[in-house]
Amino acid sequence: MNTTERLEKQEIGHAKRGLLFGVVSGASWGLSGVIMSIAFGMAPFTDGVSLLLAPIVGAAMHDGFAGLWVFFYNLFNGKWREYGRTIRTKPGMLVCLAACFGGPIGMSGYMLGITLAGPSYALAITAIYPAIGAVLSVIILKEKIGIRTWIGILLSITGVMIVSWVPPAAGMYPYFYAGIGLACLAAIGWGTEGVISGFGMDMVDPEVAVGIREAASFSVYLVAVLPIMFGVVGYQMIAAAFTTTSVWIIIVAALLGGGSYICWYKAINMTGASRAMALNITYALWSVFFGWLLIGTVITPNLIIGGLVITCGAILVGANPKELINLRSK
Amino acid sequence: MAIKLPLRFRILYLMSTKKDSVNSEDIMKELENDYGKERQFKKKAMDNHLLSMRALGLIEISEVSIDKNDELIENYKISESGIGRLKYLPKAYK
Repeated sequence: MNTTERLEKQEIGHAKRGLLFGVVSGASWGLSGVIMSIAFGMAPFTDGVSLLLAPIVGAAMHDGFAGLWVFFYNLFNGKWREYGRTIRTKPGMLVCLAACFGGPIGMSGYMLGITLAGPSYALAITAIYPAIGAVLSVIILKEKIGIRTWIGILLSITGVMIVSWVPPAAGMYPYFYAGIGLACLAAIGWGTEGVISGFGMDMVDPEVAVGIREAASFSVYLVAVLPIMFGVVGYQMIAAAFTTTSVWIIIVAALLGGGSYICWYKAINMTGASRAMALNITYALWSVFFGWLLIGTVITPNLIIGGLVITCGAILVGANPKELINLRSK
Repeated sequence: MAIKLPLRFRILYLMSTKKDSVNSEDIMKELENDYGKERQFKKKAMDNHLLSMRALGLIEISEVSIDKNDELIENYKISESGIGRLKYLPKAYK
């Protein structure tokens, strides 16, 4: 093997590890979601003061604990000093901005979409976020996306829609269209997050970026989203959660959620935002699998067909690693 | 120089001050004084930063060789788009 071949092999290896991080980010996000749903079935989240309160409080606590886990991780690998250095730079501030799109806009929109329009619509609509992200990454990041990758992204999205499609029960969701609108907002939020953080992470270490992202998202929930939407009731629910076992369940979900975010941001940095997003939405499939394993979700033909379509899409996204050597056009 | 830069900023800045290309060993030597005591300062992590920065187009490879231990040695220099990103550095580094 000559020098050029060895160099190419090394660069492809780096990009392939990025693809693997993308898949792991989907799997851990799916598992984290299933565990969160267990927490939402417990006190104090079941004492329905308002339909919207529990999901938002849960999302806020999830990001808070995920931020702590990621900080411990960065303490261990010697990157904690980078937090302060990074936050003072413009790319560091961009990561904070990305956090607002991903957390308070993306995650809240998703949670509210599930509550108001039902999980099947919310999941199917938010699954288009990689397409939004891919369009933005071509415009903003000048990312190169070939025809095959586009087909892969679209196939993955179609698969998620098949997986999550269940004909809705009539009359169950009085605020259905508001829910649909919020799910669209979530898709725009997540697509934007991936691209903005991708831009920032050209210069910021992905693991540090996730730490800042979770902390920034939690802060915005704490000082803006919770008081504006619920006044003091949101804080009361957080306090109540700390007196029950549900807090421990959220801590476990946040460990997986934080890990998932590290994998997602690393994938964005190593293999490009568009591919990382397409692999990340395999979480819809993983959450069905873990749901079946842990809480007895029934496997239907929809799930199997959708699962196969998502898998084909994901394979197309990573099919030709040689395309991954140079991610951006000059 | 007043404040310490995040490591990736510092790598890019270092390359912008060098006329010749540098490999990860050179960078480690140059930054030893400032970052040497931190646990993130490892050869493997440095190689990973360089691989990502190259894939993203901030730096480019100018020369590759194989050393006597049969290790691949890549020499990098800053690219056009990397020079464009220098505007994000704090004032002290301009």
